[in-house]
Amino acid sequence: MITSTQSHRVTELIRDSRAYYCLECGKCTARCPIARADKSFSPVLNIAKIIRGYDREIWRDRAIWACMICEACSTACPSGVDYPRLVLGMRAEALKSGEERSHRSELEHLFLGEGSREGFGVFRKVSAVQTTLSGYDGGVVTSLLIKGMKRNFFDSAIVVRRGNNKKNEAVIAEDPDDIISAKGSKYELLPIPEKFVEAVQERGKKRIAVVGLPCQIFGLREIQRSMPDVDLTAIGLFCMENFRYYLLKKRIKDLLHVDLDTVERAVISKGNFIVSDRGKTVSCRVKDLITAVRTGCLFCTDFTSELADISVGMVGSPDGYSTVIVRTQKGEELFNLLKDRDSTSADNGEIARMVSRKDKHGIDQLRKYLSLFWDADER
Amino acid sequence: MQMKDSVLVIGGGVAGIQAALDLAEKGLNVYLVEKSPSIGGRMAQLDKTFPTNDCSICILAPKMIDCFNHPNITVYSYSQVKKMSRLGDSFHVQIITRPRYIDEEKCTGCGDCITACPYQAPDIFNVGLGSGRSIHLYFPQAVPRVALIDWDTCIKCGNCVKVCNAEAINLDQKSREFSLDARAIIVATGLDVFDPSSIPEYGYGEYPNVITSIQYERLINASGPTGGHLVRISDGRPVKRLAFIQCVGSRDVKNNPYCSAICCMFSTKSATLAREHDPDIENFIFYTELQASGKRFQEYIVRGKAEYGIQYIQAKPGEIRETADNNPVLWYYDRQSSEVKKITVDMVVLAVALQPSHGAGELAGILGIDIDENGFFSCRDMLFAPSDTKVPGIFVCGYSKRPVDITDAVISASGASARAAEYICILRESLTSSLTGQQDTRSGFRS
Repeated sequence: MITSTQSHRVTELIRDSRAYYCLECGKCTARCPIARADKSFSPVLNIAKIIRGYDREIWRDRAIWACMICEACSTACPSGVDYPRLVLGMRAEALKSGEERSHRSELEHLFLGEGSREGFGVFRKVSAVQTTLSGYDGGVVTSLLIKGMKRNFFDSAIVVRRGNNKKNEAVIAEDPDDIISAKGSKYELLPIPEKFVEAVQERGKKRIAVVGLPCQIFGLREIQRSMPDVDLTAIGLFCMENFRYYLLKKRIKDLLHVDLDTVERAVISKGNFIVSDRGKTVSCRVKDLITAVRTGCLFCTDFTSELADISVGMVGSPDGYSTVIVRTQKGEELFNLLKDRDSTSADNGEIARMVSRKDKHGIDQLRKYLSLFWDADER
Repeated sequence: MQMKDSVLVIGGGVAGIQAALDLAEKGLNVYLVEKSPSIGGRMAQLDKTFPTNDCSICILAPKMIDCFNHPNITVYSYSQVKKMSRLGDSFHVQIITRPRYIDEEKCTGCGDCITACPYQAPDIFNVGLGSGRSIHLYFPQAVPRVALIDWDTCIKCGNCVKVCNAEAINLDQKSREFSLDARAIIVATGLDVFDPSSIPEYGYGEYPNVITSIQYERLINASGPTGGHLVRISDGRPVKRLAFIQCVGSRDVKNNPYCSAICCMFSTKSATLAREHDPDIENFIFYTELQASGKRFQEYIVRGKAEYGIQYIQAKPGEIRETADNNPVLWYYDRQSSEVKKITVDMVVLAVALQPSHGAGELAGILGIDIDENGFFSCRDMLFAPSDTKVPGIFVCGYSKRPVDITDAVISASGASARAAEYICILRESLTSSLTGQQDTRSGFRS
């Protein structure tokens, strides 16, 4: 039953996201990486609550804010319920009612500790770094992982590797060789948080390093809350947007006539998507790929993985160098292991520009969402 | 003397066989066209039928033989309808018969050639489990009992030619086209099984111990690849914990939005049979909602719970993973405790959606009839003319019309054959009445 307290906008949102079609089979929840680690987090129950008019209860709960919009639920839903859309709408609704708990700053407070603050979040040190180990722009990340593992900072790492069948997969690396096999950038959002949960629950790992995108680091921090005895080293990557892989693959096929599954190297640099294969290099503008961008990315305001211990990316450093933002003490200790690095200063201004560009874009989108609801209210 | 009128039945599954027998018994001449090398259809692949646990092939085989031997029925196996045109009150239909490379008249079905064939080929009837030979019988009870050669895997060694005493093998055989005239057509093209590899989270095709419901039927069938032993595909170890996932690809807006109608009973039957094979087996059925709407169906499920210890869990697993020794692990949301749980089993059976035969769209085009948004043949009126299509004289029955179990398929086949016979009667009478000047006032077949 819809209670009288439920606004017209929420009713509309329920209809738009097809929440009424929910069969309560729980497939979404069984796939949700956060729900697997945290019993109190349940998309299927949230849908049931929203439909039954308890939406206000949810704004105050972290249920709406903890979701990292990874779309594991919606891509598999047999009824086609768009849960991320429901979450985004509820966020907009909560913001409008002034209900937002500053969720991100709560996590920052929990996991990052003291540091200076800039547009790109809490930090201790920013520098442009080059290491002797070359693995595309992941050279620094690979070095950090190998050094960290050799010096026993952690005993396992969750990384993405291109498997034998040429498909990218998230794997639990347990020695430096596993890490080397995973070097190089991959533009696919893989179930890294799920793999982390697996490493903890099934392999009994307690000291784990993870390389992930901003949303994944955010989700991992959420998961980490319910696993207080796990020591997580979070290495975050810069990320402007991510793609639905099958759509990206199709789009790249249409634009560049190559199969993304089989190319040797794919990299995003300065607004271009560059693919090289068998000595041939082709590229297109990233903005031409907009139709393949994931929904969550359109609303995201985290460019530099603000919740990571250490963030790595290309923006703000000269060619051949990577920008490293050290945020926590743990990150600093890890960074200091890179003895053979060649560092120079990074361009903080350029990083800040990109951050504000993404912020503005994300907020604009959310505002658009809000205005959509206001319009609906006036009708 | 009245000339014998003919009816063409397309599809030789249980519905097509029933329709053909009904019409033949009425004294009509029947042509039965079947795409695969033997009549029998899906029912021939099943081990048992619900809710009585009767042996499927034991019920079906006598009907297949009756049908094949009936003086009024001509069976064209390995054949398909290629073209159709109207010729006065008749349908002029062109049929193409694919080459078996065996002379149907001469082959005795002795099997000497099969033992002589050196080359392993995938076993289509056993849905990829086990392997057969390039020259093979489609299945042990095949009707007609005539061998055929899988041309793609045949290495043309000629061993079979040497051993065949009947001199039936003809490696130069070509496909054969012919035409026939029929007063009415009954379409009974049945179903095809949904390919679950398009649902990547269940790992079908990737994990050896994740199989489909139809593969499971072959696995526990005494004439199947393991001789009826319920063992794992990966290592041949007996299965002790077995999970079924319902609604894989059905009730799913991205695949088939409809309910396939039989899977809840099907899986209950499969779990019951597993328990009969080995009383220590633990069975888990993960379901969305249990559909038990037929006669004695609910009792069957109650009995499954009470006597066979089947555990019904209302959840759709989110994902299947695999342990190092190929044990599937299912993640699911447990409603009672409101938490995500996982369960490790020896084998998973996906109760996959059943779709209208994949050639149904093409056939609809040839016959000029409609299919609905899910690929089922449309009927003229859902309530009062469920066997009729928009073309007078063409009737549909069985799974090709809507999801049905065996009982309902047989009922609809008898219904369609009655309608076809009625249609032919009216044609005859209108012929007479046009001679005598009387008007036919019955509107049943006026479109």
